[in-house]
Amino acid sequence: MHRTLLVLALFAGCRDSTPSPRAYRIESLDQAIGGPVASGRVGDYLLENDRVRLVVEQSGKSRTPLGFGGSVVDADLVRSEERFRRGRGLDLLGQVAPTANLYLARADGPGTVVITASEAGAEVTAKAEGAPIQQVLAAFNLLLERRFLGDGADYGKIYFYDEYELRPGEAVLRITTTVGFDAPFCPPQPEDGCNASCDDILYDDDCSCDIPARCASAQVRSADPLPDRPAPAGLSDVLLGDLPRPLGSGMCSSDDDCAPGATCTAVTAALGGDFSVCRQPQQRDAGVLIGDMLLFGGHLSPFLPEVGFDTESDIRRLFDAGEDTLSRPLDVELVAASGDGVAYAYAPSDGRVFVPIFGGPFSMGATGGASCANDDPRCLERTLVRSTRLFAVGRDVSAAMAALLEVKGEPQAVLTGTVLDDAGVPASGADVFLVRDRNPPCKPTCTLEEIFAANREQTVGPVFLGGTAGVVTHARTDPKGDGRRDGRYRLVAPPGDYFVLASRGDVARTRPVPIRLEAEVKLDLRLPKTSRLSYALFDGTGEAMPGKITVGGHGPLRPLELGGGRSADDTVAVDQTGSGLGSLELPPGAYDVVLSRGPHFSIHEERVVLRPGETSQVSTTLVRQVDRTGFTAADFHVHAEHSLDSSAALEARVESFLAEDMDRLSSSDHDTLTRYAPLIDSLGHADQLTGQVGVEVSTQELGHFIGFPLRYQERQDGAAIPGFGAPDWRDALPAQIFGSLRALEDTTPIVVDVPHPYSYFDAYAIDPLTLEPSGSVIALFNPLVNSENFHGGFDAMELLNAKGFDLVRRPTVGEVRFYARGLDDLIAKRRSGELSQVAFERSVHALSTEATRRMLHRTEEEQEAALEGDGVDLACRCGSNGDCAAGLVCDQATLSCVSPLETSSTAAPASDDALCRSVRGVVDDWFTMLNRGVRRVGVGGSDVHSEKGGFHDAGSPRTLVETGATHPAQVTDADFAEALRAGKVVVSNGPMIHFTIDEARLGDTLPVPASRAVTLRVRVERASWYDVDRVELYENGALLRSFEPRAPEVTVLDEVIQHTPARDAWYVVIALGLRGRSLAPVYASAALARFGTLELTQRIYDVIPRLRSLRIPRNPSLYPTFPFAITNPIWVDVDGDGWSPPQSPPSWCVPSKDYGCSR
Amino acid sequence: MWTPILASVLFELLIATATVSGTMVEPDFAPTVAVISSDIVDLRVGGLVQVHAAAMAGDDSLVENGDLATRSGFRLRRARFGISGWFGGQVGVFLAANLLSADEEVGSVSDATLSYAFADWFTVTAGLGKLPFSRSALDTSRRLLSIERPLSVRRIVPSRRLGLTVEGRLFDGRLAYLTSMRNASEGFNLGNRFGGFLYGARLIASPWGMASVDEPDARFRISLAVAGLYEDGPATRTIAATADILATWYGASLQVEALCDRGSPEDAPDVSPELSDTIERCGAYTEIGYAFSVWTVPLRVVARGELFDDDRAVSDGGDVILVSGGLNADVYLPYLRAQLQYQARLERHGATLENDSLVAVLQGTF
Repeated sequence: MHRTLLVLALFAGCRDSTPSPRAYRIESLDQAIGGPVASGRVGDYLLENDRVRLVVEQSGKSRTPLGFGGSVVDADLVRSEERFRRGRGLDLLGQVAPTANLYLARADGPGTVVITASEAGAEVTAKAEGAPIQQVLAAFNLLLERRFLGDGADYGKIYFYDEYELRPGEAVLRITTTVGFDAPFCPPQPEDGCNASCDDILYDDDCSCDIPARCASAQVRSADPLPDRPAPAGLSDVLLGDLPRPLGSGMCSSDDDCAPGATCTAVTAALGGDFSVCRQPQQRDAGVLIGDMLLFGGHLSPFLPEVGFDTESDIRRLFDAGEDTLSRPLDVELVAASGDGVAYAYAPSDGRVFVPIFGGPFSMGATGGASCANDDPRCLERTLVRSTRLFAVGRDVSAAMAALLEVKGEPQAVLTGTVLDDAGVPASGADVFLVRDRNPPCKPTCTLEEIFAANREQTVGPVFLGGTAGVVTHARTDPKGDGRRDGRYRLVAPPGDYFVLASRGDVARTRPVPIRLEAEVKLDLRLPKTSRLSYALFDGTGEAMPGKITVGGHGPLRPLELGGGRSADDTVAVDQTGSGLGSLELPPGAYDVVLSRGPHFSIHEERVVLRPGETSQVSTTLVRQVDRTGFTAADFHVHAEHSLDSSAALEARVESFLAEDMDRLSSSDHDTLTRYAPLIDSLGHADQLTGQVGVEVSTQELGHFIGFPLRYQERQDGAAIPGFGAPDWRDALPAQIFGSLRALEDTTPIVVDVPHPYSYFDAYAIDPLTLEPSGSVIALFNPLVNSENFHGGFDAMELLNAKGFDLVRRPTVGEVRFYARGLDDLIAKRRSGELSQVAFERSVHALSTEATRRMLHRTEEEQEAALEGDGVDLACRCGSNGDCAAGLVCDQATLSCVSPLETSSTAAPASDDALCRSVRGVVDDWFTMLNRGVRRVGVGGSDVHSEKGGFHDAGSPRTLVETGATHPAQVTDADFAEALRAGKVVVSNGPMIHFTIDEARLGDTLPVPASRAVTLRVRVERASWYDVDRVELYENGALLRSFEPRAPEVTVLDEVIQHTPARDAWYVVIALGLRGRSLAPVYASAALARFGTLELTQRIYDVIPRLRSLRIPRNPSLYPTFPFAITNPIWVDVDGDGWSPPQSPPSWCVPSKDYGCSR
Repeated sequence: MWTPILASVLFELLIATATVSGTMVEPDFAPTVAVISSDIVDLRVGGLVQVHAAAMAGDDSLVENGDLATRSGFRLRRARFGISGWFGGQVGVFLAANLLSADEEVGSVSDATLSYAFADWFTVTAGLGKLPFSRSALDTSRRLLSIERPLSVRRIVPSRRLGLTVEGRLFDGRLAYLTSMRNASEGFNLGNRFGGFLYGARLIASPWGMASVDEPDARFRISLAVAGLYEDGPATRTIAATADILATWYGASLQVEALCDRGSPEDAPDVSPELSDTIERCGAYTEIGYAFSVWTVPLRVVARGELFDDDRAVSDGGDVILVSGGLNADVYLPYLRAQLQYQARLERHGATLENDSLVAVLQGTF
């Protein structure tokens, strides 16, 4: 006994109970963290203690999307299991990059990221001058009026000092950012007498010495916690100064326009245009906003306390209500993100986090501000502003949040227990939630829905317009990395009254149990029985074949707040099988299932009733209904787990392509090459599917560019090649990016494809009629987008990306008005209470659908007006007053947002038939290109990111290339690329168009004598489960004929047209299903309106007149998946003297590609 | 007129009961190593290993499409291990594992049968095994003249299914029959998960006794057979038929077989005028061989031509001609065998693919 104690004592003596944190440079990858999205490499900096490990990227261009080195790129727990050590951890973090005024440290030079001494722990510091997150953001320094520094100060010159400090025993990284504008760094010299841990006398908080004379003197002040001023306080108030609400109102031209005591203060600098507002003496001017860009990535689900996992709905509600979330951001205690085996939590050391956007994996958290009162300008002169944020790592959200609470010293109570399945077996991977108990009347037998409703009712406010559900925290039983499969969970939260419930995926959920949380409480939870649905798909020969099952139910199986999916079609589950046999677990109940295999096969619909604990079956034979013989179905826009914003496993991606009847999978992960061929081979599907290596070069400001087929190489001289050779786009011009892609040629010439080309075209403000870059205002701040840098050296462009139907055809002014006015009307009804939130959302969907239908349905008159340039002089920045920031109105003559005094009341309103030039219509741009002899192949791209289901589906749309191949999946890269380049292509998400002119097929040029009629044959097919009700035939952009087919057969149209071309012409056919059955639910409808940085910044543009040229009217983005197909042209050369375009080529045409290009 | 025939049949049945010769469905290998061998129990273990070495494979070669190899290099084509037992000369058990398969649905079981041989004219077998339909499919893979079975056989003949077979030989084997009833879907331990049954029958006439390529010294023998099957599958109805001839004469052999099937879905939605919802597939092949010996090593030259259309309604890359030729050497009968074969697959429509392949096989069995 005594000997045992002695041995234990000796061991205890040898062991450091709290190992010191340390920081070191990674010398080999087994020192790094590792994991599904780990990006740490040799040379980066590792910070670790006994609980967590984090990687700060070394100086240089960042391997992650944002900027430069010096940001946190990997984070994980210290894991004891051997399989997770030595660089094989579970990092799921994208990037956390400190920012100030939308700048971040330009840590790309020697010594800009270093290990620094810290008296409290281990520390890595990034110190560098700042650079804008995007070049265009540098514009704010010129456009905004700022007065917090002395005269002549350069507000674009920011010094960043980002300290990453890890202390003993804490699972929390402290990120302290100190920024200064007019105080350069001051590194200590020996004669300064500074302490050893002092790295910079001005910026380092570890210094204890006087500022020497050689350095500018500066004081340090802490950033004010947010909100740093009375409500309503938003990010725009810190960045632009206090703004009246509603935003855009309260303009003044002199102090006389203001109330007594207030002064008329300029918001914008002279270059930004004239925009001034009245400010009281104590109101704030534009200042400094500090926070972090939070790139969580596709492997993580953001979580907000009280809100839960539904982080997007509240932002949408604000936007729908006419607010913008820069002015009224989500105001939360912290931001968390949950992944499989690891979770993160982010919060300021004091105050709240302002979150303006959750764009899938991307978010931003602002935590501190510093600004001067209106009567005290220059208050930040020679002043450094410091803000500290906490970034915690845990095995689940609760653990990460607990780590934060621990550091903040806030009281914590603990709930532990075991989740058991219906048989009493510990359930691993179950989610356990704590939901706020606000004493609802239904207690103690409340359903979850009743609790949510009660919580929402009591928490409605100006930010959370629909209230919050009260989901406080979340834990998971036996998350990945937990070696013990014992079903145990641990929830940590402040003491109080809660409901607790457990769920396993979408399939089983316990009833909420009321619980009073004090100190430590134990509670076991038992899940109910589930059901299983087996399914099988067979082909016409009775062989099992790949396919997909779409399960429809009534209401989501798991609420959004608890991490459930969103569906506009009542789809509750989607599964896919590569073998033809599959099964999925579901809660007992009645479901409508659809078995499918792509849009060209029949489908099988059946209602199944699943009983608890039992398995039911559904099986069917599907037959190919639509003939695509000789066409190879390809998708060039495909993401999976190698993309930061996708968590889809590569195997699942292959399976999804098999299930969707695809022949060619061309990878296009963001900035990294992925090779599928060996995987497809090993899975035994090489006869059905070909893998092709490609990449999506994802620039921040120029748009994206896809290249394929590329040479694939993982290593060179034994070292891994970053991105496996993906081109570096930073600071590169389009021509250089195209060149880099073409340099990856192996044996087949590279095809450069522009996905969602509106991004590229908008960056250069390509004129819809002349195709000339018209000079974007952004070019003033980002030379990359100077007009002369637009380059036509691409081969193909996407005519349809995913299900973005609103950007396919350029709307007319009438269509813009229809949507904008309709939306204004609905918002007014919602505000007045005439419409409930549910009714409002349903009405917006209906309005958006109808507006999109009208945009897609072109009439001869509309096309004629577009060709003649009717409306080209209109700004078309708005369709109604609701498109403009409050205080401005939409001038119906010019369609621009102006103050009420500026409206040209005498001018006639713009014609409804005129085109709205500010909105891209990709097909219309392509038509214009064809008319000007610019010959680029139109393709489609699904842009699929999700593993199964959701808004994106593999192969929707697809590019059908007429290779004539007898084995469509096995055509060689060379043959495939040749057919593609020749334009033997139909882009479709369903309908198939067979189009010939005489004997000429797609992509062919048919020489004919003058005045001789040609025979155009248009045959359109569709599967029996969706409709095609409109077919349009275009000649040189004019609508030559349109048809409204109503045939019930698969062949909905088979027309032969005699036509005599008056001149050289191209002919294109479009097939649409606008009024009949859509492709839903097999191909999901849009469930959530688009909300990205474009939408986020729209209203701010109105406050800065100079930027109003970037504004566009609101565009519909909620609609079903309309059947859509478009051919590439057949060219008719009258007289056989060579094809010549009707109009002259643009200046950027390429002689080797384009007709009539002689530059 | 029928009385003498009936009497003759009954007489044959009576005589045949005395001699039992087991099943005509040959598994991939026959265990040879006796563990126990007595009048009451005969228990053997055995195995089969086939290693392919592809000396050449065209860029477009793909095993999944019927080519012998996908790339140059080695391939483990078959690895089987099993046990056979006969008890009392009438009750048989055969269990074979496919060591290359760990399929979730079918596991590693290759064959698992229980049989009872009441008489030559009546043997009943239950379990998992080959379907009595096509001659080539019924041949054991350890004695195939060509390296692989014809493509049409691989495509059209259903894979191993679970069920019951009744078979027998009459008139000294001059007439033989096999009938079978099986599950319509695969899956062993879960059984007939998706429902339906498959029915098959095969009738073989051999006027001068069963023809066999394994008897090079035999005089002229010919076996003619017809077979059919009907599968009432979970969602598809399939009907198939085959007819074949095997003739042998002093080491020379000629095998001809033609087979077709037609699958129709239960639901028959509209399809494009260019397509058919009912899929008909047909194939036919002729295989000739000649056996001779060099330095006591039995050799055989073999050539085969095959025509296969995987959908008669469309003319596409599924319409192929396969031509192959090679040399077999039974280095150490029956344990060690070597084969060398060249195969070309010619697409009758569309672009020609480079899919010729040259493959050597080393086979060991015991």
